Amino acid sequence: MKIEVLYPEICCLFGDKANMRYLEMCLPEAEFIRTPVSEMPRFLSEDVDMVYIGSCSESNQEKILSRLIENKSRVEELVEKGVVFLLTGNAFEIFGKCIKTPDGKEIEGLGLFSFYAQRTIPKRNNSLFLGKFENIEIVGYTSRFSHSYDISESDAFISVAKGYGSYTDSKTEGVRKNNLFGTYLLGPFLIQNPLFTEYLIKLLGVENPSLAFKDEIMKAYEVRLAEFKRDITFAE
Amino acid sequence: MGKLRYFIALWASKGAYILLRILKRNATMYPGFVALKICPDYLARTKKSPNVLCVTGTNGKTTTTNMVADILSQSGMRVVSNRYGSNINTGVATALTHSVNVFGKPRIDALVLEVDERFSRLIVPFIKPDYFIVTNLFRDSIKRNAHPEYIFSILDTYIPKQTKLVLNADCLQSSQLCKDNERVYFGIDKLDTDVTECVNLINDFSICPVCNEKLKFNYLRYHHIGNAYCPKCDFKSFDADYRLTNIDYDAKTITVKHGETEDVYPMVNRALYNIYNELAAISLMSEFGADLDKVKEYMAKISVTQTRYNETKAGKTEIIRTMAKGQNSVSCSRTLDFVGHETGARTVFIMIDDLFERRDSSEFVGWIYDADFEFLNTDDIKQIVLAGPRCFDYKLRLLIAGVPEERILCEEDEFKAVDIMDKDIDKLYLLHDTSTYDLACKVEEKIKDVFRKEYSLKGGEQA
Repeated sequence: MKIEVLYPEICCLFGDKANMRYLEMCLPEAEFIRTPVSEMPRFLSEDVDMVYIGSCSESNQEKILSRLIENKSRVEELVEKGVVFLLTGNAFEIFGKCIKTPDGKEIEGLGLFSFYAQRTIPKRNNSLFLGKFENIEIVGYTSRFSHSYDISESDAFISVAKGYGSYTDSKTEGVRKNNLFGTYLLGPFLIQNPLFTEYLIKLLGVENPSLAFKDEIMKAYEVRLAEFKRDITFAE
Repeated sequence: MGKLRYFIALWASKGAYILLRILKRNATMYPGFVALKICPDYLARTKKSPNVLCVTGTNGKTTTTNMVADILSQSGMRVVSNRYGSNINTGVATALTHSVNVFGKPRIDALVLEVDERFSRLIVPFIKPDYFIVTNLFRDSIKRNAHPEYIFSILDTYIPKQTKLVLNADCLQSSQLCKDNERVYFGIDKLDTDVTECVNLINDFSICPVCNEKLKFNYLRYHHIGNAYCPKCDFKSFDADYRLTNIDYDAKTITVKHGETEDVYPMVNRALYNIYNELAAISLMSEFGADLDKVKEYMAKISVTQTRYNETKAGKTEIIRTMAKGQNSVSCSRTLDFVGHETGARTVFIMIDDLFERRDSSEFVGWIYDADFEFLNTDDIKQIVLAGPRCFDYKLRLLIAGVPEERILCEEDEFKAVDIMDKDIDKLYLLHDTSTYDLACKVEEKIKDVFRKEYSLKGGEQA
């Protein structure tokens, strides 16, 4: 199994790196390829089972978009083929139609989805999150300088119970297409959502996933879930 | 009209200060808040003190500001500083109120201000510092400071052109600030402990800003602190004007070279990040024209404030209480590095949950995966006590860092954790957040009580 982590030296804000570190512990047999921004993605020359991109700064987001847009058709092909993509934080925004900046600039996206992202700098949007994907309860946190609009219901990833969705009042959060999962939730998303991690590992072809530190990870998840279901402040 | 409004604001601010002091309330922010409410351009209108010295940066700004203010005060200058106050615009406005008399005339020789880096856009364009130290730029609270590039862009945009900068040559991020400003750099020469590949989880300046090539390091100290060059283009670190050429931990001195002159100073604190703070303060004092022989004398009398670091003893146990700023992965990593590399059998008691967020919300602990808890994975550390509501997240973090489960004690209640922790220990490091300082002091008192009793039961004399 090959998992390509794209541009980890810049797409690694807010604890996002931990996702692949943890997945490595769960999948000790898998090969993890970490491709720096100075190199071409490995998925161009060979098949991979999964691609991961984490959160980055706005200027780095434009940098990685300029790299990927040259290979848009290959990205599209992989998504159509059902390769697993996990995009945390603002990484999924580059897969939309465009990113609009506060000064009116429009940056062309990969166009795999019809939504657009609107940057809100200097307004930072912070919120805890509770929602559901299929029958899995998802917990997490978002902190970003943007929102995404015009995400169709069929393209949405998670339904929102509490906290910000793709924009402040959105009922859905993130995007999904085949096995591509994009979410504004950031940091150790897979560590905070062990049930989704199991689901993801199954998509990678492992029938009976074995989570590392399963007891501890479930305990932390259950404590957080119970806390999030209480009447606490989600967004300031 | 503007002038009248300014004076009303000044008098109201002074009145608010007196009133709050009579009521024995904290008067560091509100007087400034009143002033800014009445006169929004209060910072710009207040007459400048003869010398305005500011300090910002992700880490070390409080310690550095206090050192600068202490040195100037000891030299006999009349100094106003926001050392006990807030470093945002209201706290700075309060300090400005103190810097002038009721007629608005400066009554001091120097204004020394710690400035919050994110709030700097509301402060520095108006008070126009003569000198501005930027200690470093790292990741900080995700909520407030987003990422280092964001803070860099604020400082780069709003620092006035006439301000002379005192920058850290070893910080690849902040050393790139305001390239048109006059500047001096400080830095620490290669140390025996330096490496050439990053051992930390995060390095926010690992690629060349010009050509994206991976940077090579002549030496790397921690995170992106070091001396780098690009193997593909001509990008490289700046040379330091003030070079720390030697650290003598036994003699507790540091040697600083400027031009052909080498001076030996007392070491205020042995943690490397505090040595950087001291070097920044010395560089500024030299640029300011201070008598460096006097600076050496003053430095000998300075200690790092007790809210950040304190050593004490209870029974046979040495207790070191030190700040490990929560939600600030680099600051926390510096403390973890320090504690991890200390010697001898020891216990580490961690209570760095955010006290305010636990009251009515839930803290995002993603930052702990950027912090180097791996430093605590050493056989010398016999027990790690995780106390507070997020202890289960920390336990998982330590397990992922490779710490054996039997060394971890996890307890939501900080005081209960003291009851059940191992007692037969020689050294304990108590790590707390800024928000848990008061709570940490109470926990420390309980720890001391317990250790004293334990020691006395074993026939030892009370310490």
